[in-house]
Amino acid sequence: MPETPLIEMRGVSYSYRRGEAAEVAALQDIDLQICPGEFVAVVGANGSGKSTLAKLMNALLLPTEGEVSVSGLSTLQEEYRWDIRRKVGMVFQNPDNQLVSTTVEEEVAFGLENIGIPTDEMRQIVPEMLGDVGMGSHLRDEPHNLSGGQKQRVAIAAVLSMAPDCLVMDEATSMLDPQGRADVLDVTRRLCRERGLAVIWISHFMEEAAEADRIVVLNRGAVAADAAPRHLFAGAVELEDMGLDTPAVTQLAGEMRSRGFSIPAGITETDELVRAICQLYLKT
Amino acid sequence: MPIVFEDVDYVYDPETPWQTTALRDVSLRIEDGEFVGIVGPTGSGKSTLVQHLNGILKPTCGRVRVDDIEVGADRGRMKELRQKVGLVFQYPEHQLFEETVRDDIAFGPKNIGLSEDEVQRRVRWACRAVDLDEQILDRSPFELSGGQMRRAAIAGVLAMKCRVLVMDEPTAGLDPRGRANMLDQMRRLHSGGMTIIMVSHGIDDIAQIADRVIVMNEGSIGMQGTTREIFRRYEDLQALSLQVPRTAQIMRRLREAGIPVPVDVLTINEAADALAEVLRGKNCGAEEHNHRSVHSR
Repeated sequence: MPETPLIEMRGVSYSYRRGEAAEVAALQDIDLQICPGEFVAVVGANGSGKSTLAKLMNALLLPTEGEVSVSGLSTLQEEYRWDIRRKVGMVFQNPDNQLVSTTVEEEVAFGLENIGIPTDEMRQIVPEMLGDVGMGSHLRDEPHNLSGGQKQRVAIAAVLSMAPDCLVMDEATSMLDPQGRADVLDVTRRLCRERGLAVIWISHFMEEAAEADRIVVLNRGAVAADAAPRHLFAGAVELEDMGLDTPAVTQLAGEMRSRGFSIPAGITETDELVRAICQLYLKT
Repeated sequence: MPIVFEDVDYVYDPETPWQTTALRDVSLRIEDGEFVGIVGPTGSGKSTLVQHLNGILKPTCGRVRVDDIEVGADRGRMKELRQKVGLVFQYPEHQLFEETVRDDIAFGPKNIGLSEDEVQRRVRWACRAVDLDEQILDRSPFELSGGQMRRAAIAGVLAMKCRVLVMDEPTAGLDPRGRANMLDQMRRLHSGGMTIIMVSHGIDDIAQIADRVIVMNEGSIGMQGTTREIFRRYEDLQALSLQVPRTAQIMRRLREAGIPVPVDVLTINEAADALAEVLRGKNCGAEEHNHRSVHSR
């Protein structure tokens, strides 16, 4: 039974500097549906339109053609935009450009205050949100003293306080060290699982994308593939031609196949490869 | 001649309440033509370390020498130092500022008073070194893609014809192809004789390309050795919340499952070769031999 999509894009195109000589078509004729609670990775080379896609999802950009709707509300209608931005929260790439307050708790309270939540309710919500992202012991810390990964988790908490249905992570891990990256991904996956938040995870790291329910591949402003990780990495799509690669374990499995060993295609997890190799090894 | 650090300390904001020791007792030596990777958690002193190499920072205690120039002491020779050592910061594309790519790349060479002919020769050479199409030279740097902007910024440093190239996170934010291209370009520069020092969180990149690795930890050198030696030390790295390369992680899991593969591989190809050897040996009835080799490791 088809679920009602949370985000729906129908025939969406977007051009920067529209009507000028230097017009750049960033996205062309995108049809895409995101369901509630889905974890969807978006991958694509630099300049393939990933960030434009993200900004269309919460009305930071409006389509030049076609329509984007969130829970049935079109981003073209001005009266829905406030609601849409509350439903679809965004975390951006640079951890240093997103935090504005002097303490971590104020950062989260800031948004709540803006939507008129009473103070005593705020006292309860703020620590709860920060606890949810593993920052419960940093309430009084100054944001500039945090690591990149911690800053990004505070940014997530600030978005969560708006009770969104969807979290868009626009290369939110690309400036972090490996530990920070792992922490942010873990928190995001838990929020998806436990709170049923839909997640749009935009990244250049195929290992991260491999953990999604679905991967959308953008190439030159169009959807080149939309499939489960194992289908995508099984080689149905020429990812390398699009400037992408596959997870290390998928690459190793491929190298073993090309050396004549019978390893199934589309391996995305180390456990699967270990099982396949063990079978070969134990076979006499 | 080599780069030498002797007992170097560096303190930010000394004698203020914000005083922080960023480097503590660092001694190291980098020979001509080496490719050295510097890794370590955020805040471990990697960037502070490399900023000593072209005199942006001067040691609070100890000595830093590049060839026969002592950083900080030979004040009259800073210009010479900066021509020897090119430093590419993180996200160098944020520092592009001229109206055209050509002017941006030419800025350094012009500044040291080279003739217009020589400046243009260097601009073209630097462009080729980073695989930038000369056709874009007369465009605004801000019209380029992210990857092109990064390469234009690096070309600006290369145009100084430095002998040592220091790069802080050169692959951050690039897509997989951009990352692979960047590594290829660095490999080419290195094989042309340049000393390259690369700071990166990208353990897989370092594993593929560096001869030697320096691991920073809380302002000191935690470990140093050949790339293979360092990435063999899984537990030691983990204690510093660092990882071994992804390929080595997969090999460790295979080994835990009883497949006697080596765990100190650095690339996918090496891993596949080693694994194929083990499987073929097994099919040829060499099981005993392989089992023995597990225990002897």
